[in-house]
Amino acid sequence: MRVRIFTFLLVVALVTGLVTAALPSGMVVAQGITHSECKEDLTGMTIPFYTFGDLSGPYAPITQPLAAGFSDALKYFNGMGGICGAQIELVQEDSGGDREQSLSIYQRFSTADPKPLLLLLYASADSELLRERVAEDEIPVFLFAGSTIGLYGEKADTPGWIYAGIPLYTDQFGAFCKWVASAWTTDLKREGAPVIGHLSWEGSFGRATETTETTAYCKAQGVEVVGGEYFLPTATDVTAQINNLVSKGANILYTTTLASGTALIAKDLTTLGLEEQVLLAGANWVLDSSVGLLGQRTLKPSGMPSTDGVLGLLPYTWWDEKHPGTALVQEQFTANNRPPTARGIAYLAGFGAIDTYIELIIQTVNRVGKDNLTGAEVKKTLDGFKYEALGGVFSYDWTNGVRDVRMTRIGQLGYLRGADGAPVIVEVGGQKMLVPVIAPVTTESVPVPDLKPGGADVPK
Amino acid sequence: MSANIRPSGVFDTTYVQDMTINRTRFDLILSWGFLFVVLLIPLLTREGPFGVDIVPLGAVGTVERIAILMIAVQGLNLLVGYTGQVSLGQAAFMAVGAYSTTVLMRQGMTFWLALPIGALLTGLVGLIFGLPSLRVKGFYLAMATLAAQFIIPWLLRNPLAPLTNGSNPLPVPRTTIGEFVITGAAQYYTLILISLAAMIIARNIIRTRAGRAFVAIRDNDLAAELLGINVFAYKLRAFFVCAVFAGLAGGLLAFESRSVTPDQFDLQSSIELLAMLIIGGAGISQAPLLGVGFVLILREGAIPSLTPLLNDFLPRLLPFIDSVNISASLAPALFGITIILFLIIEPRGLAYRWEIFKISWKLRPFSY
Repeated sequence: MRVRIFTFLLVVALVTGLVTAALPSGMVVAQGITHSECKEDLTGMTIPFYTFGDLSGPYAPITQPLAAGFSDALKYFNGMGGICGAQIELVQEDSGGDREQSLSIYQRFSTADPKPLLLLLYASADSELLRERVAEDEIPVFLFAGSTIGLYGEKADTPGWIYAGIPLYTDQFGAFCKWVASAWTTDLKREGAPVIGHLSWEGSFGRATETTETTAYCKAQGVEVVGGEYFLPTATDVTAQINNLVSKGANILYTTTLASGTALIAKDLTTLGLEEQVLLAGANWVLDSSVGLLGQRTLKPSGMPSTDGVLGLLPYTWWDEKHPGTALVQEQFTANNRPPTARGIAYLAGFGAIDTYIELIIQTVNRVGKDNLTGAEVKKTLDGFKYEALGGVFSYDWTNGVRDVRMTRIGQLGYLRGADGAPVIVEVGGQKMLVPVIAPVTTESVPVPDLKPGGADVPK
Repeated sequence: MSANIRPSGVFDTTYVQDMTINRTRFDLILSWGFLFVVLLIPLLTREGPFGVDIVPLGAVGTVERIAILMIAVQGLNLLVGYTGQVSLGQAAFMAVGAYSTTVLMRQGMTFWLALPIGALLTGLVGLIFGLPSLRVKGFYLAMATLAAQFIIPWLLRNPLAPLTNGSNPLPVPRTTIGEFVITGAAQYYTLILISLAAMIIARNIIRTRAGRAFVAIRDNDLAAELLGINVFAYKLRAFFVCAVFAGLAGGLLAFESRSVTPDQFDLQSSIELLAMLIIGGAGISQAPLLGVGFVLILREGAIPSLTPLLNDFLPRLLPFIDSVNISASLAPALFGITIILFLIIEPRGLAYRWEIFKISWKLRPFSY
């Protein structure tokens, strides 16, 4: 009898142990999204989340939904208990794309009481401008941009206090070169050799891609880079720049612009009748609904918008992909009656940033306790931080001195088509429009090359 | 203006009285009182020596920026307000000052030497862009000076890129006196003192022969020429002085922000500087202080504190507008509306209103 009871208890213990081990350790906030278990209760506390950037300047078409993303994410996550019971409060300001404004907002934020534990930025120029100051003020930055100088310094040898949520723009360009070299005659069914002309916005963001290292790397992959042309975000015509690059032999235009910048290049390619001859591609921001919506102002001879078929880097999971994280975001998006025009990267990134912030603060509090919660301690957490935000929509691994994302896929912008293959037309606010969709061209994420000055993949 | 309004029977009896800047005891108390309050600001923050938290720490930065931009706007005031010439390139001139100061510092020169050299270099650049003022005026001159706003950033981004880092920010070395690094309160007092000196110099320029020539050219350049004033030479001098002030402001901005980029000095910045002057009241010496103060306090204090409240309230009031669009356009819309309302209510500027107020006070109870 005793043996039976003992065997029964042993089996129960084993099964319980196995079930416990199979369950994710930590707090499940939604299907597939898990935060670390809280060791301290922070109920009654309010933890601010600081962010500023361009909401009304040249970045506006892409960044405007960011505020909605933050707001809906806070509503959702605060409803789920916030950070171990503490409520998160959003402190957001608009710099209008003006660097002077950025400096003054930063000055206000950095002297706030309590001091920010983390600051979210999304402009390369802001990251470069504030790199030294955030280190002095001990305020870590989560950045949605990929500037080598901002993250690693002028000589690319000093990882600082800024951590990026996307790959470096140089590395994105290298990854594109590598892919296009392999897909040129097969997937893309093109003749000759790929030749890239770089056409981007003037400024830190646009200039962050084309370097001697990326040109050498692309050449080593069999892709010639014929140089760069730059234009101001206020420009309304880039036909001269396109003609210059095409006359040098470019059959791909690679752009480090976003929203209206990419749409402008697509429009002028169509105006010049080069839409079939020249491929348009770019950094991750070209794959956004803002580009898909703005591109509808000009149609190709096929009747499709000028931005149909734009290629780009896709280092995260997009709305249209089946994933518990995107499902949650879509659910909240619908529940908050957001317009279809806001269904872009900014909203998604806003949601992902709040999720990341919660995990980051939980890990820091668990390590040092709530009374020792400072920016310096948050940075220590960031230095060993590996996290699948929204259950894997965004993947971060900032261990070993890495400050950026090292994996990506290639994606393509298109428009939703019905069962009959015809584009679906919807009406939003009395305006008829096509629905932009972004789909991965390569299904597996691959590592991006390291093309920082002195990087491991820079040809010797 | 108000300095000349005095009770009946009160006259200047000495040249010293006639030349003094503060003509009445009230003006004197007001000037010193204002300076005293400004000097007190860093001491009343939580990081001050008394540990009191009366003034928010962020206000220190706002006052620093007011002090810097006031110099640039004062330069513009000398050119636009007193000489009647238009310039849309003031931010570009600031860029020359900021970059030349920074580059010289990066070559090992001390800030205290690099700053005046940078300002003088900017003055020379200003002279070049002032040359068209001989042939054109008004709108056409504005277009000619606009060229500075395109040529200078292009030069900084492209041919001068090895020195300036091109489009990327150029770090500014820390400013020191011996071993002492000028930061925090020391930085604040340095900026205030330089700004104060610039204001006194500007005010005195107006009282010199050159200043009177500027005003004569503004009022009627043909009449000025008939009076024997070399109009072209004085117009060029005005451009030079205006650019020197801009260069000084640019150098101080580099010192304060510790990093310079061409994006900081775009056309929008030039237009904002001109707007600050118009709001302040062009042609009045207090205009830069009032104009810059008004705009920066509005932008850095009033609007950020109003925005969260309106972000909650407006989407409910205007349900037919997407809340995303409301929150994103709130700050520029509030700024624009305030400026428009202000220009309707007081088109001659804050300094003019201040003068009217002072005259009314002096003539009380017979202010009519």
